[in-house]
Amino acid sequence: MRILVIEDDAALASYIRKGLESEHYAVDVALDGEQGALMGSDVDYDLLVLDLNLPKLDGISVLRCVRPTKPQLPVLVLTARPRVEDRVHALDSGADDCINKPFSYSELSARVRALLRRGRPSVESILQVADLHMDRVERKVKRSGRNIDLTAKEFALLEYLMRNAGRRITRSMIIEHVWNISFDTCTNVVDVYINYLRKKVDEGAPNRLIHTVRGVGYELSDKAGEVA
Amino acid sequence: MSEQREFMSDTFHALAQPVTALRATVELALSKEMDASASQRAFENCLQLIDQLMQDLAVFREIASLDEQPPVETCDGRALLQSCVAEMELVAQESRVQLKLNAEAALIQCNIQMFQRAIFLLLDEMIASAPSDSEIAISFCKHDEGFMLEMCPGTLQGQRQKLCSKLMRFAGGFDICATSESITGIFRDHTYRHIPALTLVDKRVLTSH
Repeated sequence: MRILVIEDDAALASYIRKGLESEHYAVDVALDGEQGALMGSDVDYDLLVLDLNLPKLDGISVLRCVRPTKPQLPVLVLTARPRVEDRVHALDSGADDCINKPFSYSELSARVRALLRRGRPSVESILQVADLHMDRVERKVKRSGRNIDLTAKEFALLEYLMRNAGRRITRSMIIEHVWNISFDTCTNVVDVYINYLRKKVDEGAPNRLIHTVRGVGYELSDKAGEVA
Repeated sequence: MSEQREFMSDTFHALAQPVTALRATVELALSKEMDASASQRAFENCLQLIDQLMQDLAVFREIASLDEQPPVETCDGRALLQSCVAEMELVAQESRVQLKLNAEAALIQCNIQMFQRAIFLLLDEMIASAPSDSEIAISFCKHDEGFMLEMCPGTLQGQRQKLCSKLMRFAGGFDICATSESITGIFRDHTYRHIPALTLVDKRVLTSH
């Protein structure tokens, strides 16, 4: 897997590069927007890590340069801008995910893994993982034909897990996407909801679909046992 | 003090403490020969301090991101509050805390998303700091100028409380008062119509007649 990091802060770029290389990714670094746009368009990368504040060409302009030729390329945006509108603007301009600075390396790494395992986000109304079936329009969930009643929040959580089936999802990613809050909560709200969801989805079923990933978060998949 | 200056001052004070502690930990670690386990402990201390710093920064980022009053709309305040409380019911049960809601029928003017975020964050913090087998009382009752939301006990002082107060204000609330005993705020009745303040020209026109 080859990743391009476009980040003008040399120390931060080097820290990201070293971290990703230790996970056996091949990493290139571009220190300004122009160089990044050129490399992103010409070289076949599997993922782009893109800062928004860049010299010569800003991150949004880099996205606009790269997207027409690489519509499937996953892009993770790094931003220090606090406004929700900036994040929305980045996502609308073609980014697949955003992470706020400062971030922990483990969070960045989890998001990179999640993006690398998925194609472009699905917009289907029906989601299916093994025998678990979700109709997003009818707001109905079934497992092996058995109806499962979910609250609005449980539905949103399950939908997020199903959309990211087979990927490790951190608690921060869940709280950000399902609760729309970009910092840790005081309570264990995510774990509580996962436990209730697990009772409704997995209890009585021949195999578990919602797995705990120790030290990371959760994963919804058809594999057996806990995920190490 | 202007809101912006107060924010800057709060930010400085909140960040100064963990940065100072972080520097002291590193200085101490560098000043003496340490075995592997002592180094490990020093690194773990640093990581804890950095995590705290990142948490504080994340809350400041949320506060800073609220810079423009969003539009308010008429909504069923009681139903909205009931759904917010129901969402945290499971978390409260796990912590053996009872959520007691007493809400009158109330058509209010508010921004629904901001209201939901404010109640979620308030309940999240209240539940986390409440002792087992205690109760959190939430009431929403008629008041002179609309409906008063009251949540007891309040939350611990700090940036999260400031964020909640700001979210309540952005949700359309006013006269917000947050203490460790309670947090209160008033939401306008749906019939309220905002009358813009008279301009100098208006006043001249009025007084000349």
